[in-house]
Order: sequence, then C-alpha cells, then structure tokens
Amino acid sequence: MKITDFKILKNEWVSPDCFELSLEPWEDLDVRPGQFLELSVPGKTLRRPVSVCGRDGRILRLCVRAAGEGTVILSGLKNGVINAIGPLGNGFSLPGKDPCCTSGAAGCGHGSGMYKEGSAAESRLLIVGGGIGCAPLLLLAEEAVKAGLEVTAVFGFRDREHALFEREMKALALRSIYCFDSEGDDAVSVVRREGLTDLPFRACGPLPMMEGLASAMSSDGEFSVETRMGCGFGACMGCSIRTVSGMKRVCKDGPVFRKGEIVWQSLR
Amino acid sequence: MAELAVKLPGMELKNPLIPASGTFGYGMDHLDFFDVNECGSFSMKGTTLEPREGNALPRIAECAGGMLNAVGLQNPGAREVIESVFPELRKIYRGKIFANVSGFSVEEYAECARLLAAEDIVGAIELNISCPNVHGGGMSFGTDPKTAAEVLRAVKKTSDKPVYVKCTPQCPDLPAMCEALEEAGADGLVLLNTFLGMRLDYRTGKPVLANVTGGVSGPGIFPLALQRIYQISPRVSIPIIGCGGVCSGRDVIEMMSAGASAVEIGTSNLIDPMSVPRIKNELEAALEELGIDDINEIIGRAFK
Ligand SMILES: Cc1cc2nc3c(=O)[nH]c(=O)nc-3n(C[C@H](O)[C@H](O)[C@H](O)COP(=O)(O)OP(=O)(O)OC[C@H]3O[C@@H](n4cnc5c(N)ncnc54)[C@H](O)[C@@H]3O)c2cc1C
Ligand SMILES: Cc1cc2nc3c(=O)[nH]c(=O)nc-3n(C[C@H](O)[C@H](O)[C@H](O)COP(=O)(O)O)c2cc1C
Ligand code: FES
Repeated sequence: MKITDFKILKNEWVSPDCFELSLEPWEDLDVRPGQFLELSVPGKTLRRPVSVCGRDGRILRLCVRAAGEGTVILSGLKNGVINAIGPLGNGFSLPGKDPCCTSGAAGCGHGSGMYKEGSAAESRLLIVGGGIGCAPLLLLAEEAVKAGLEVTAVFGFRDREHALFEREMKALALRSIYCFDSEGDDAVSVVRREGLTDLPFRACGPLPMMEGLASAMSSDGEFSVETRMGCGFGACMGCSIRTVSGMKRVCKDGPVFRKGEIVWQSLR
Repeated sequence: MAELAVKLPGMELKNPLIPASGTFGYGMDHLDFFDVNECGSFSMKGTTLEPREGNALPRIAECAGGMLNAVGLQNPGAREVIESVFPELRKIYRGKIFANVSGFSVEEYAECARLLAAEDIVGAIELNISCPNVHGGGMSFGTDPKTAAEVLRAVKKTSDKPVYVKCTPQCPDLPAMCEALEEAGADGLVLLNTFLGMRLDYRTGKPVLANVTGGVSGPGIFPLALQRIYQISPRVSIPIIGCGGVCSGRDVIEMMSAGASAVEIGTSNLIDPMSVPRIKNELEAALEELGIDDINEIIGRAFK
C-alpha cells in the first residue's frame, strides 16, 4: 500500500451515469481484483473509495458512477494529477488459489487460510454483479479466465442504456449473461433459473441483490461490501461491520468477506 | 535546525506532534506510510474496560472543511489491548503513549485506567470525558465540573502516571471546567474533542449518521479550538495539549503561540496518512523562517 500521485490519461463517460478513468501511477502498484484506491477529490475533505476494474500494464482503470458531489467533481477531471492511497483491502480470492489467505494476512475476511472449495467445483466460478458493483468483477473475471477457470458471469443493470463492460466481457473466454430490471429480470433470478446456485461464487452489487444471492446460493462464496470510510486503511473504525467473528473493518479486513461471515443486518 | 523537543509532566517528547485518539488506531495502521517513532508520542484509540462494538452504520459523514464521526468507541476492551495489542506495538514503537480511557461510570473509568497505567508503554492517561457519540456516558462527565473532578480524582488514585483530561467544547463553561480540573489534580489538559453536529440527507430529510449526531473535526474547527486555548491558557498553570483541525506546520505554531505545549493531530491523519512527517518538516521550515532555535520559545507567545 502506497500513497502516490497518478497521471490522468483518460476520463470519459461510458454510460449515462458512469465514467471511466485511466490512471498512470508514479510508482508501480500490484493490484488484486477487489482491491480499491482512496482517491483524493479537489475541494472535498475525505477521499473516495473506488475499485480497480482493469489493468493495462502499469495503468489502472476505474469505472465510477456519478453518485454525489465528490464523484461528480471526479468526472470533470480530464487531465492533470490525482493523489490516491492504494491498493487497499484484501480483494477476492480465486478458487484453488488464494494469494491473500495463504500468505497468512492477519484479519483477512476470507477466514484463516481455511478457504477450500469442493474440489469438483474448483475449476468453475460464478461471478454475479449488479450495476456499478460489476466494476471490481471485471478485473476478477479477467484473472479467473487467465487462471484457467470456467467462468459464468451474470451482470444485472437497470436497463440496456446503463449496461457496463459489454465489450470487455465479450472479449473474454467466458459465458456472460446480461439482464435488465427494465425487462423484468434480475441477476438473482437468472442464477436460479440457470441452475447455478451450487457454484462457488464472487459477487458485488446493491445490498438487496447480495442478500438475495446469499440466500439463493447453496455453495460458499465471497461478497464485496460497501460502507462509508473515514480513512480507508484501518485507522479510524469508521467502516466496521459486525461479522460472525466480531467487528471487522471493511477497508482493511474486507471489503471482501465470505458468505458465512457477514451479518447482513449490520450493513442495512 | 530548531530544537523541537518539549517537556510535559511525565512525558518528554522529541517533538510536539501527537496523533489524536481515534485517528491512529493503536499505532499500527500508519506503518505502511512512515515510522511511527517519528511522532512525539501518540494517543491510542479510546478504550473502555469492556469491549465495545460501537455505533450502527453509517458512522461517517462529510462537511465543508471537515468530517463527522459517530464511531461510538469501538474497541476490544482494556484487557485485550494489554494482552494482544501492546505486545505487537512494543515490537515497532520505542516511545510511550497516551492511553485514552473512556467509561460509563466512575468505577469503570478508574479500573480501566488502573489496568492501562500499569503497562510500561503507557506514559500517561488521557481521560476522555468528552466523547459526544455514546449515550449515557462519555460527554456527560465532561459538562459538569463536579462529576469531572470526581472521575479525575478516582483515576488519579489508581497510579502515579500523569493524567491529562480531554475536554469537550460542549461544556457550557469550559474555562471554569478547566480550572476545576486543575484544582482536582489534573496534570494537563487536552483541548479539545469534537464539536457536536449533524447532517441530513437532502433527498430524504433524514439524518445521515445512524447515531443522528456526530462529532465534527478537521480543518474547519481549527479557529474554534484555537480560541478556546487562547482563552483558557492564561487561566491555568498546567500544560495544555492543543487539538482541533491542525493540518500544517503553521497551524502547530499558531496553537503553541496561543499557549499549547504540544498539539494533537486528528483528522489530518485520515486524509493524508503522511501528515506527521509532513507537518514536522513544515514546522522546521517555519521555525527557521522565523529565526527561532527552540520551539519552547513560541509557547504562549501571544501573551508575551
Ligand atoms: C470498497 C469500495 C469500493 C467502491 N468501488 C466503487 C467503484 O468502483 N465505482 C464506483 O462508482 N463506486 C464505488 N464505490 C462507491 C463510492 O465510493 C461512492 O459512490 C462515493 O464515495 C460517493 O461519493 P460522492 O461524493 O459522489 O457522494 P456523496 O453522497 O456526496 O458522499 C458523501 C460521503 O459519503 C460517502 N459515500 C457515499 N456513498 C457511498 C458508498 N456507496 N460507498 C462508500 N461511501 C459512500 C462518500 O465517500 C463521502 O464520504 C466503492 C465503495 C467502496 C466502499
Ligand atoms: C474517526 C474519529 C474517531 C475518534 N475517536 C476518538 C476517541 O476514541 N477518543 C477521543 O478522545 N477522541 C476521539 N476522536 C477525537 C479526536 O481525537 C480529536 O479530538 C478531534 O477529532 C479533533 O481534532 P482534529 O480536528 O485534528 O481531528 C475521534 C475523532 C475522529 C475523527
Ligand atoms: S475507513 Fe477508517 S478504519 Fe476503515
């Protein structure tokens, strides 16, 4: 984890409410899928947490939804330099491979190095995203395909206009299913309908989607969750959620937690 | 280079910069950014006798010039801090810390302080009678000088270590409170904790923080904290540690000029994790610009 400046190479709208930033760090950063940056926003006291959605060599790509004042300011930064802390958080693990837990990282939300998928399922992975929650999952999908996993991705959006990453997902060797609220369909229904509820999974999206998925899945998996952050690196306890093994900081022990760890009610 | 060392009762600091409670964890979360031994000392997260989960989410909000928090004293409890946290801290930190102690009754404050003061790594107790984010405790001790003096006396009895009392700006007569604390045996004062505030979500009209209210901190409260220190320093003879919105070397000089013997840095550590080394460099540069060789010369300069 470092605090460093990034050169803004590109910043353009990719949907009616989302824009994509390409950032070149001053110092190289080693980023895992599901990790995030704390971006400094001109005129705002607190930094904004944003996941890394793609990597081209040393260049990092972020996809941001203009959700409020800070992200709207970010959407207007077309060039120059932006300061960020990162990479932050534990990130997702890949079935069969578990860089975070095997290295014995303390307090990691995946559990204490015990994470093992059923070996039959180990070669398959289900990735479920909703809206801007698909951002960290794009990088995960890329890495999972690279690792030789058989990936099925189900991405849900409000409507076709708001869909993200269609081009990138098409280019990957995986099965991807897009679904839209406007057409009366949603990611959890697709997962049920397609009979995918026993696959190891990784998910990120709005809370109702994640809670729905947690109860739909018979298998184990990981969720990336969101809370407001004071610091992003573990110092303030502003982001803590209750888990079955006590209070955990979303920024440092998370944002990725195993299904069985999360006490959903503490996130509502 | 100007001399930065300052002396406080029971604590000799190599510089006057002290990360404030709640913004520096137990000293281990800033290690990726700088060597914590560069701090004069630091004040650990507010700790209670029993573990506390803290408040519901959201606990954080933002405002122009600062932030609001309603963490609600999430901490693992004094025994766990002593058994699990201090052994880790000793491996990376050679100095002494301020043990920030909170509680809900006089007995609980005293027992928590007794346990922590017995630890070699604890240089002083920082008695937090000023937390605005827990109901039925914390701040209520900080608004009535009689109760405050009672807690202080009970805590003083539990060890020989110096006790600094951290005050709340919500106290209706802060100068009288500070005088009462000096009278009751405080070794020093920490001025101040956060200012009570709130935000509403403009869409729903409902509070952003689950706790409804929170403590306002950050650069926006600097002039407010400075005014209290300026007002109170001539009225007490015990040292004051200034706290509130300090973000730069020049802020440190202003606060010490108003009578603070050292400063605590809070919110700045969250926004810029390199705050302490940066502010130290700025402080050295500013003292050089002013032709001052010893930082002690500027303490209370406003009144000389
Ligand atoms: C680990 C993590 C990864 C994230 N990754 C992405 C991403 O890749 N793309 C993306 O568009 N968004 C992401 N978010 C959400 C993003 O951080 C918020 O949308 C953003 O902070 C909103 O800021 P604002 O100033 O526009 O909104 P405002 O509502 O004006 O913000 C006010 C305050 O609340 C905080 N806040 C508001 N909404 C959220 C939220 N949903 N999560 C956390 N803090 C919030 C802000 O940071 C700020 O401190 C992520 C959040 C987390 C915790
Ligand atoms: C997230 C957060 C948590 C805090 N927790 C504590 C605490 O546990 N005990 C305490 O005495 N003060 C606590 N404070 C108050 C700070 O120590 C400090 O007094 C206050 O923030 C004002 O200083 P600043 O403007 O430099 O932040 C906390 C402040 C913040 C922002
Ligand atoms: S945001 Fe500060 S501890 Fe997580």
